[in-house]
Amino acid sequence: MCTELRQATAPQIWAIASGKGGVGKSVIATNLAISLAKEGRRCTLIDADLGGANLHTLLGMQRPKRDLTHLFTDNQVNLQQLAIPTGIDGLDLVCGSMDMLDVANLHLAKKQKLIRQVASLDNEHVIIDIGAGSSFNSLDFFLLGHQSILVVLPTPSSLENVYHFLKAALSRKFTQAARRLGLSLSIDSSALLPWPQIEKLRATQPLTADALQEEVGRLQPRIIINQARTVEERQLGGQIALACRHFFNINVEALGSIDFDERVYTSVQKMKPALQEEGEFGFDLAIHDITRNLLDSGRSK
Amino acid sequence: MSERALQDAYATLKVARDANLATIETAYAQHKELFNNNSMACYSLCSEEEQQVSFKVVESAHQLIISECFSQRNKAESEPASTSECSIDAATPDQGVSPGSFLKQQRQALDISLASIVEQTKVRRTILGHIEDEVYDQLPAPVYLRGFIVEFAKIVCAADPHQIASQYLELMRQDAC
Ligand SMILES: Nc1ncnc2c1ncn2[C@@H]1O[C@H](COP(=O)(O)OP(=O)(O)OP(=O)(O)O)[C@@H](O)[C@H]1O
Ligand SMILES: [Mg+2]
Repeated sequence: MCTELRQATAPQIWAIASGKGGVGKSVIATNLAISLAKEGRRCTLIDADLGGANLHTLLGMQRPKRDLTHLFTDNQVNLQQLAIPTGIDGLDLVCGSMDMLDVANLHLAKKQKLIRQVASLDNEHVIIDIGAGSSFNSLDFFLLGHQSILVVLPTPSSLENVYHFLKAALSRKFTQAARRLGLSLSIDSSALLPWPQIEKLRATQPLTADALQEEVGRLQPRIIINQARTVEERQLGGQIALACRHFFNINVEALGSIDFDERVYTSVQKMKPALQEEGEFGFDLAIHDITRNLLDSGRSK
Repeated sequence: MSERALQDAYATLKVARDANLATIETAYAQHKELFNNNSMACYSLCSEEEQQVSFKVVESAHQLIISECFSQRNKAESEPASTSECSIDAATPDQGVSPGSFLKQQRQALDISLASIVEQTKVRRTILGHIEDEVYDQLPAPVYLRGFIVEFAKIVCAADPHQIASQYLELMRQDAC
């Protein structure tokens, strides 16, 4: 593509969250980004794990001088300027902040600035690595994605966290959509789903209720199973999708699964991403498959 | 059978009203797995009792849909327009030939491929193969196996497709004892 003639279009955003910590978000975000770069696409990786930034380490880079902190402390700085080359062709990184402890409790105006600037980054793809937990920060970055991706381990505790996260995301999406329609609605308990409220609204404002339902229904999270060790575990994504349809009435799609692989551990220890190693292994194939699935489902949207 | 109950049954299995048997079967298997005692995907979403209830709801939804499918087919069958797809003489199994072998021999004699039967019945090829070879432990539950065999038998011009199906299921039952 000719750079001069290229129209600045909004980037495709993939947001990666998990609810539970330590499940492999950062490893997966990094390798998906490399996989895109290897396909000749240009991608900016954003470390939005505010307070636990580590993508530069996974990529084997020196700790950079500029990071997200500067976006929040200096009005002159924009996100584009914080993107630094990773040494991998086509891949830039915006480092997360580590010093400012209160960054994790980001002020609303600052968060909005970040969200606006992510959406208008001049690049084809953006991948955001989101910190664990279901704080409003995490949820808002998750909802920012054209593809909202959840990494899940085949363990009860990871599932419990993911379902909690999904309900919280659904409720947040509902509040946002309602606000956009000029309604002030919210869900008081994280145990509740938005559908009954929408039905109640339908009695008096059927068109608004339709619009709201349509908007909330656009949240169609994708699931990646990580560290699978058995056939059943590899297929858990499909079962989760079915459970989400049944219990939450939302469409969830299983993107694929990644096996537990010692090479992933070794690559983290060596600070060299698995996809940058010689040879192709199961992990690489799984990452490529997932990349393909994401690109395909992005196209059909 | 009430229309409302049928609608609910389709909604329970999350399949469209015009879904073919194979789709229904797959959805049924997936839902059974989801509400199975030790399914991990349900963890934290419902209690064990709720899971058992859902399991039963899925079971009866499936029963309802399957029996509806077959009663539709039987209705279509009794209409004169669609008497027989066969222009050649209808066949009955020779003495001592099991129903599975009969289906296979008859199919081969008429030079009909398995693929063509897959096409016409929408039943998966492996299942059709297992029906012919009488691999009982790999076959689906009798409620829809009966329908598969009837369809199969019709295509290969069996004189009495229902008789073949009954014989087949009877032998299968005896084998299980
Ligand atoms: N498929 C895998 N096979 C083997 N080990 C893995 C796999 N995926 C991740 N790991 C291990 O899990 C560790 C944690 O991964 P990672 O840092 O990506 O998790 P995270 O979800 O980003 O954690 P945090 O919530 O702390 O940010 C890695 O250091 C790696 O050793
Ligand atoms: Mg991380």
